[in-house]
Amino acid sequence: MNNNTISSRQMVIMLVMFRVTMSLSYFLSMDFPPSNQDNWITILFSSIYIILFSLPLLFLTNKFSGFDMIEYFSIILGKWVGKIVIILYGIYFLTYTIYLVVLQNQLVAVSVLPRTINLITISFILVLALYMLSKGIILLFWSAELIASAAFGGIIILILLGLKNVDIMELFPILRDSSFKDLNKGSFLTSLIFVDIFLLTIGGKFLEDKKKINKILLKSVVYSQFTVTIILIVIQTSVGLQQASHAIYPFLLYTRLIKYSSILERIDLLYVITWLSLHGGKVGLYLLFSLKCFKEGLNIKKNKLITLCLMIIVLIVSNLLANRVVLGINIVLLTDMLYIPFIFTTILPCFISIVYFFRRKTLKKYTIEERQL
Amino acid sequence: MISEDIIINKINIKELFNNTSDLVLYEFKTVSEISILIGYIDGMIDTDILNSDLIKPLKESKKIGQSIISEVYISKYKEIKDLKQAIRPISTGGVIVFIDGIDSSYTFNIGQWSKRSIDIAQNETSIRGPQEAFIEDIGVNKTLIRRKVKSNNLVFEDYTLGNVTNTDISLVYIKTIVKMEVLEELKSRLQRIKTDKIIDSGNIEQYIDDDISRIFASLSYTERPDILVGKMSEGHIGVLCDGSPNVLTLPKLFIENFHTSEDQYIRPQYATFLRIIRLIAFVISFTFPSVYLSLILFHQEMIPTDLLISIATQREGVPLSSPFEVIMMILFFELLKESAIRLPKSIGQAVTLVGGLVIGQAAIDARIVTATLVIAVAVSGMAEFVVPKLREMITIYRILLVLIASVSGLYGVSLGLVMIGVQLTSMKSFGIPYMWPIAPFDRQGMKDNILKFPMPSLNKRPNVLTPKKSRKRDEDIE
Amino acid sequence: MKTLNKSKKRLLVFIIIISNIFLTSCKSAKEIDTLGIVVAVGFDLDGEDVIITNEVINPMGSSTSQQSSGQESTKFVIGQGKTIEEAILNTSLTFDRELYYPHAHTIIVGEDLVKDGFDGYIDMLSRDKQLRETTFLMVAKGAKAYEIMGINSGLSNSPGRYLHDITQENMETGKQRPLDINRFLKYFYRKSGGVVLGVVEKRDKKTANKDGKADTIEVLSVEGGVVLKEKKLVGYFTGEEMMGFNFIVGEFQRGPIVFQTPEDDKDKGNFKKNHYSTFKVFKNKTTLDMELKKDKLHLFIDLKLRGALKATQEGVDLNNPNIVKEMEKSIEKEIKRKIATTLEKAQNEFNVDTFSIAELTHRKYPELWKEIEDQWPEIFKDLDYTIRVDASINDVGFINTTKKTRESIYE
Repeated sequence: MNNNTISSRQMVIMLVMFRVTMSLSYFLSMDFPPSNQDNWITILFSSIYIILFSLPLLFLTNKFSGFDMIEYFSIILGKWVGKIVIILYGIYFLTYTIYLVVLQNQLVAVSVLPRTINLITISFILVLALYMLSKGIILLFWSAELIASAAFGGIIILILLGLKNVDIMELFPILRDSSFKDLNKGSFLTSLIFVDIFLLTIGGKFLEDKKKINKILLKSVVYSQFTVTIILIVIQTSVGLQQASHAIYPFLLYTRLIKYSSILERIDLLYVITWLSLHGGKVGLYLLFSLKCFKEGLNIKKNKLITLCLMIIVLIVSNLLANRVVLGINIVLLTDMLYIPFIFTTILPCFISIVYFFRRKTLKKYTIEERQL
Repeated sequence: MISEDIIINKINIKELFNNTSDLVLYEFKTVSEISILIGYIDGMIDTDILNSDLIKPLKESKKIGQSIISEVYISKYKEIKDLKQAIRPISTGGVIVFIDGIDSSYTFNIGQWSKRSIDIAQNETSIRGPQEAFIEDIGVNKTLIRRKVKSNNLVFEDYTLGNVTNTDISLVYIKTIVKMEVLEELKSRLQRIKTDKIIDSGNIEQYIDDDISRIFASLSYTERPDILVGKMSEGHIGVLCDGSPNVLTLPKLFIENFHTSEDQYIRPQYATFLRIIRLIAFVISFTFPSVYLSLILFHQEMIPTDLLISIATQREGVPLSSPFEVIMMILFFELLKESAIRLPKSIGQAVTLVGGLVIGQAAIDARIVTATLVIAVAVSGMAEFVVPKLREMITIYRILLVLIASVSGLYGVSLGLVMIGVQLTSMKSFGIPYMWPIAPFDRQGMKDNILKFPMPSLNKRPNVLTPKKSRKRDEDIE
Repeated sequence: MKTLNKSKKRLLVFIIIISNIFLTSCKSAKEIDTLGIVVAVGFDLDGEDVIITNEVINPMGSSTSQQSSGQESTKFVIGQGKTIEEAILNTSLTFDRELYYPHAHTIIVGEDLVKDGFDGYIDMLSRDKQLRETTFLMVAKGAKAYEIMGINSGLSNSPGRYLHDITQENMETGKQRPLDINRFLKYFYRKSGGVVLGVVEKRDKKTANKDGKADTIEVLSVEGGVVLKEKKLVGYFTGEEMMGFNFIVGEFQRGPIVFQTPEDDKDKGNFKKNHYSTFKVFKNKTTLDMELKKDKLHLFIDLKLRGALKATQEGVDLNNPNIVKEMEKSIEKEIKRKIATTLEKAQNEFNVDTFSIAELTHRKYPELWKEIEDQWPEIFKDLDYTIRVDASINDVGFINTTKKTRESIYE
């Protein structure tokens, strides 16, 4: 095993955990149509939509294997248009990082540390992100193997501990109350939450075996959606359908019900901790992506200044937002905001692949068919 | 330069050694009236061999000229033409012979000095297995290794480091098993060392470590030859240092901190059980005080109600706030540990008894600390001794985590643990990933390093430490 | 990619950590000796105001090294305010500790509050971060909550512990309803039907005091259940009716069934007069099924249970093989009677479906349910049902006849 590559197993674990953490904080899927006991079917279906929506970027990554997303954007679109698009992506990643930091701060402020000022909790997570940034992307994947596996094991243990409260009859009648149109809409909206392919496109450059990218994506989608389905089923059946859709943090509610002979009570904190360790990795990685984008887009060579700038921006903006906004309560707004990642993940790469088709001849030297000869 | 005149040589060598009082210069004449001067350091040679094998044949020799030297009954000698180069052999137990009329000198190595006898290992004890340990003399250590590896592929490479101490360093490895890249890296790092003293292998470690500013070392050390030989057959390299009973081994894997030599000699199931206990003890030792502190400060809902009531009862009237209490107890425990090492053996036991029992008990009764806290710190302290190689890391990180816990409870502690995890898995020791076989997961490696499978089923060497052609254990090494 | 200089990075981290220690006012740290740990809470309505009664642990009185000479191990703190939250915070004006709720194991609600309508106070139960979702919720029958809370007539340390321990989750009789907040909210939010909550009431019990004279003490009893319809109290189930209720919803695990002993000599009638035997249920499985018979919904309640014959009065000869079967039939008759009484009461007197039969209909006939959903209360009122019980005695203890009978065999 070479020292500067990422193995496919590490990539799969990272992708799976990124998706699963989206379902462990506020879980929008429960309020999507059909908001009844058939929501678990929508999650299973959404795996098809996820694969569908990842196709443009996947296709481009396969063609330009050896380059990461930022590099082949500037190859396909030319220097200036490429720079603009990359800076756009950089801003998107930065916004996403801010959103993640605010989300994490909110969960912590609600359940763990109610009276600590937001600046302190935010600065803790940013210190961790800064540390991870300084290690670089390859080493982050390596550490993911240890930390993500441990956290995943922790979540499975939590699910198993709460199985006592599960009443499977709540899931019946299956499929009778919902129309196919509703299921479709729910799957579509759910897939917007979970589509997350940037790890593969930017980290794919360092993969040990680049031909396996499709297999990695398929595996990760199957595993993650299966896990999220189980989480959904377990929450809905133990807490009741109405309570689950009223609750802002359903999994937190589920873990609060765990009770074993007065030793293991109120261990919902363990869930928060495992979620945090995964989330910290996500913040670090997205900050790294936006750093790369800005470096490439603005032609900056030195890391120091731009990192500091980005850190301060994230700190100030997330502090402002955290003091004013409560996430997770305005479901309509959140659902509408889901379209923004959709644009960056699917629609823009669609346009870019169309441009690629036009310029195919001139770009032949970068693509994989030429280099295999 | 060595002159033909023996008197000039005598003056030169005295001046070279700055008229030190333990330099002995003896001038005598052979039967054929040739003057011979021998010089040596008193106390560093074997006088019997000197008298009977060197002086006697020379005195009775009837030969003239350079061939006199062949009369000496000692096997190896060096011919030195430059006087400055002669310093080194004389300082390490050699005797230099000047023959009147010959402009070169001859040095014979007959060093013998008093050394510690081979003893039981002091710091790495085991119940089963060989008990001998390295001593301070590098020659004896080399012999101990040779006795265990009777193969022609065992290679020693010698260096001298330190321009005041001129310490002998030796690399030892098995040529067909070791990875050449690691060896080359080590050699280039050794050549970069320019310093005045190398007293112990710990000094060498600071120069050749990957990154001395972090608390995890890239090299391990041992004082037992059987551990060293076991590691060498996995592809590690040993660094012996004259004057140090500890031999460095590199590259280091994190999991080696939990290995003892006994694991290879006792029943594998029991060895697996012990390894799991050590891992648990390691985690407890540096997280327990901070987790306890964060539970009683921030997350009282996680404690079972009865325990909480009992802690609340103990807390009544205690003046200090919890973070200060915990830090105070940890510092007190560190004082106890350090004083137990420094005290002379005769009063050591009594004082530790006083410190532990009386002061701890008195502190509880005087309501300065709570009893549960004492238990928590004591448990974590005991667990620290289960894994002695990691005690530096445990001590420092324990205090850091307690400081973080006093600010932000389990939130900060968990982020700190993630940071430690990231630090560990991103470390490399001489190019080998530090957390192998956990982080780059390797099923074959888990069989030997984490769990202990019986030896017949472990027939592959670790793939990060050995080149591909020497992976199988049951083939002959060529 | 080392962005900052390494030592500067470490310094930054260290400074952040150390400086936080001094920002004590912004921390969420709570020392244990500033908390008042609440083990039981009571809600009451007094005119317009809400009264909260908290039972707080007194650490001094719980220590084992001191003889608790006159010191109670818990203390009662009362607060008053317009809403529950205000009442809790008002206690800080008179009490020197901050009330800490995550260890509250039972919540008692006064009858008046439930009669007034519980939904005004439900919101706090699910929104509040501190309350456990596994806390037991009970209604004080015919009394105010603070009258119930001071009573400790068991072996526990404190009244709150006593109350918690008699509300066991694994019931030994079938006469209770131990419901925690999570399950209560699960049933409460359902569109159809009502909820049955647990009940606690004060009773006088005769005992003998130290001088050997008759005396009465107060004990608490958790027998029975309270029925809520549309968030308001409509009535109570007695202990016997609760057994029927628990049979229907499948939560009857163990309990005694007292039945009339069958007569072996059929000439004297079916059952002996004033002759009762006891059967203890080990295991029970309830299956509810709904079927559409001629456009009318019909409910089938199937019970399958087994247990042990605990005791019978004299004169029963178990050698007779039919006797055991007759006993089983008598048990079944008794259980059917209990279930029928409960269903009658629910249908006619309360007119509320507290047995989740609505959900059962939904699962079995989803399309039909969409039509009849709104008229469910009327449909439930006239619902026909068939109860089938299959009881089996598989343990009769150590003897097979009684003394009297054996004498008559060897005559």
